[in-house]
Amino acid sequence: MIKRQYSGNERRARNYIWNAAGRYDFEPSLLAFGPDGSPDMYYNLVIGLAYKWLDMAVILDFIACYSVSRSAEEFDDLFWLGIENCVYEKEIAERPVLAQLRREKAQAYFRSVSNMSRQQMEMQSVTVYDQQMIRWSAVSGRQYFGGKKSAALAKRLRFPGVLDAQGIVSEMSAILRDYFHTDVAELEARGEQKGFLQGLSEAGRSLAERSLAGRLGRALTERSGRAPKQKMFLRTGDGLGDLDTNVRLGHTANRKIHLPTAGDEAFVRAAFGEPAYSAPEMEALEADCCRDIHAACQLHVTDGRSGADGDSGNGKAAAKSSELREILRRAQEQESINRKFISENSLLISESIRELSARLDLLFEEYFRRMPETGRSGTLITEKAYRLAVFQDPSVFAREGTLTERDVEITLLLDASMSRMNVQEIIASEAYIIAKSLERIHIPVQVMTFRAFRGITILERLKRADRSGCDDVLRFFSGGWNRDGLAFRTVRRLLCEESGASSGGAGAATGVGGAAVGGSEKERILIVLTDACPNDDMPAVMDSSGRIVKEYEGVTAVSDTEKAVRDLRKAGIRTAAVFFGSASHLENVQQIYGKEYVRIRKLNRIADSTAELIRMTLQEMTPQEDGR
Amino acid sequence: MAELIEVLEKEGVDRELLDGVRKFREKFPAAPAFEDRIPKAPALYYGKAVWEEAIAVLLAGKNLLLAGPKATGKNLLCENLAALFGRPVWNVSFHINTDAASLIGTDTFDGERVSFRKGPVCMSAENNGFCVLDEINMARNESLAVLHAALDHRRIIDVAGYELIHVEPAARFIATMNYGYAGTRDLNEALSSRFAIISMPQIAEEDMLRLLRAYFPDISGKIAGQFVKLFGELARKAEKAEISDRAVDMRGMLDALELIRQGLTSGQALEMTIVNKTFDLYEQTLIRDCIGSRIPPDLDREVVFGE
Repeated sequence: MIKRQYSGNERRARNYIWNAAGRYDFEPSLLAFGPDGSPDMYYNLVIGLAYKWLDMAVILDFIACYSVSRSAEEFDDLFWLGIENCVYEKEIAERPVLAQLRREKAQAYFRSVSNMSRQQMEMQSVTVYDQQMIRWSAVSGRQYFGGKKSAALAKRLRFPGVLDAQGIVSEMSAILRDYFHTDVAELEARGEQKGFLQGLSEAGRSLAERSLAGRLGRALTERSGRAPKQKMFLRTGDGLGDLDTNVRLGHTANRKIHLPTAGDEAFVRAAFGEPAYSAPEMEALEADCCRDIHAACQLHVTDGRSGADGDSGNGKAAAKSSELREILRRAQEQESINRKFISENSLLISESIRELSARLDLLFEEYFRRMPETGRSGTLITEKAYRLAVFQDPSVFAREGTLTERDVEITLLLDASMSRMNVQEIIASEAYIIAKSLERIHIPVQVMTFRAFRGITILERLKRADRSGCDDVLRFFSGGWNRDGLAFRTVRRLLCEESGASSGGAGAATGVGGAAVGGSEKERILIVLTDACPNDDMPAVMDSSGRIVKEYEGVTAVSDTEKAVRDLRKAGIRTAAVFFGSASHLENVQQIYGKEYVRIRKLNRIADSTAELIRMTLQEMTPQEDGR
Repeated sequence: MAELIEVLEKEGVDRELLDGVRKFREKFPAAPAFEDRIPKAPALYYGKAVWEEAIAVLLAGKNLLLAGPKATGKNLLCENLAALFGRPVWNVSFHINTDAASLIGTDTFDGERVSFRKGPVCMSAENNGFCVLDEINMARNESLAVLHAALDHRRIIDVAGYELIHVEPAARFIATMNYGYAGTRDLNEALSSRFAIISMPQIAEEDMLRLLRAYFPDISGKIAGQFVKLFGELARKAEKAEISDRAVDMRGMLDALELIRQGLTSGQALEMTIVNKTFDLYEQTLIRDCIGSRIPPDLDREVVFGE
């Protein structure tokens, strides 16, 4: 199975912390790892217990205060040694295993010390070394004499369990003053001058890798007053992100709103391909979908670039643009990476396809109506009843047979925004596995991507349902924003169009929903691969002068997307999500999709999770009245 | 059964309700032919409030839907209720292909004529039984429409071409429904409106402690407490979608203690009965981590059953 890009150790560390804290509503600021990169069970429990027993905001604020000091790392180690004792005393009655884990930690410490090279020993702070030796010697019943001063410091660092966060901070402040001649208040003042975040991100690394720093590093926020012309790519993905990693985009404050122009349209056509529909059809589509908070947006639905696109008039005009060249280059480069990834993991990919297709085959057989067959029991077929008396033929009953009728079409909709840049080849392989598995069991599947760029929401069909072959799915690349609500509206309209029913506006949804289902027996399932974080540069609400009243992000965007999903369901399109994103967006996915989602934490669960998701969506065979 | 009523009295369940149960049982004694269908519950369901709600619903002649996540004691409560009311039980496990025939009955040719072979719903309706509709939300809503008339005030089952079956006065329908963070769907309104619904709470720590003590009277109080907390931690982890709910297994927890009594260490026992319930290696690691931060792996029967 594909495991290359999943950093399971980080998740394990978080789970230790959440478990000890007894709650999951926060992202730990600190994670503890051993020298070999595996999570340090005991110290992660200590961090979790600190979240449980202490006000972590106070603790982190204090760390931030002294982080400008050159001895910040040393202070960190001593501070956490103190916290360790405090939370240990608070927790031990409730969690007796902690005593054993503490002893094991002590033994592990002595093992690590005995394996240290001379240089490593020299790089250690003598004070920290002394204090750790004293602490872990005491825990494991050894003797260690570090001198009178060290013994006195060790005693003070045994923060008693009765202290709260403020008490701990006061104790540590006094220790820094008495033993290190450091005035925290003064450091704090210096820190304010230097900038808090920089100091904070460096402070905790001696204890642990600081995930906060990574996250901050990924948050891209332009702070200038006026935005440059919107770019498709703001940075290069490292391709090494795990499934929990998404890139966050920030909005430029007080920027000028850039409404889509003819030039932008030409650019999009040159970059993504000509529209799949005629101009009047696209106009009708926009009239129907680009309403309310999407009124300023445009749509572009395409089947992708063909070889001729680059030579079209628009293409030629836009080809001079260096940005277009960059987009085409990046798209091509990502396609090569996707193909290489598939090829390098060919055995695993084919194994996943085999497993998923077998499971789906079984699932569809179970869920879809079985064709009736005659038998010796069941419902009497009255017109055949005479055969009982005349021919003594007991096979005059109808019952469910073993053959199933599978009239279903599945659409995969991939979020292709830039937030997915670290997981592009994973998304491509995921979609490839699902599409290939469905194709193998003869279920029509189409694969589309969506993204927003310069106010134009672009839907690109990578694979059509009526065409075989899934290779084009590997053309997937990420870039731009994502206006999920508008993309979903458009998909609803397109799918209803295909099934011969109008999608209907908000007012006509119920009637149309009936028509969609009644008019066509085909079951339609939409699976969205998403991080549940809709976010577009084109605001949701502007005033008449083009000033931003409300951004398309956060609650506004999530509520809009939720409504779009509700409308999809009203139209008889079963909609579900494969979620892989930050735990902090878990609430979003629940709000948008209700229970119909699965969270994938690593790719080797794709068969399991997708089969489970499709099972969920198939369970409810009648259109939902209230959209949920 | 008098015993169960007394136990519930000691649990503090409302006496008037229990008197109502006594009268019910006197008025509707179980038919001797079906006595072997009256369950003997393996353990007591703990939860005073739920007991009172359930008893009140059944005494009022209504049907009961027990909804809640895994390991909240839904099936145990069903068995307890049938035992308390002295009712024979017909159990139907629902699945996606459950159809009207498998509930109501089916036509068959007995060699001489076409006859109707009654299904569990008809059997319980005619014989004053409790029909347990297990995991009712696994079936398609349209297949369940056949139950509507039996479940509402009409209390009839109209089998086309045969007689009208009346639901006898002591017959009740108790449905169970599992829902999780990312899982099963809801019942439609037509069906759910025909039930009084109890949202089953996660078993409270003190109740689970009592359950463990009921199964293992000699278990060490401290150790039992840690097993209870471990169960809660696994349940929370599943609720937050960090692990699947396969490891949130009360039966597995009880089995682990049984295996420790047989001579295995806690690590070995929990590995078999909890960790290995999931087949995903990474998820197993998370479950193992969770267990490790609560239960030492080397506990043996002398330590666990020291009291």
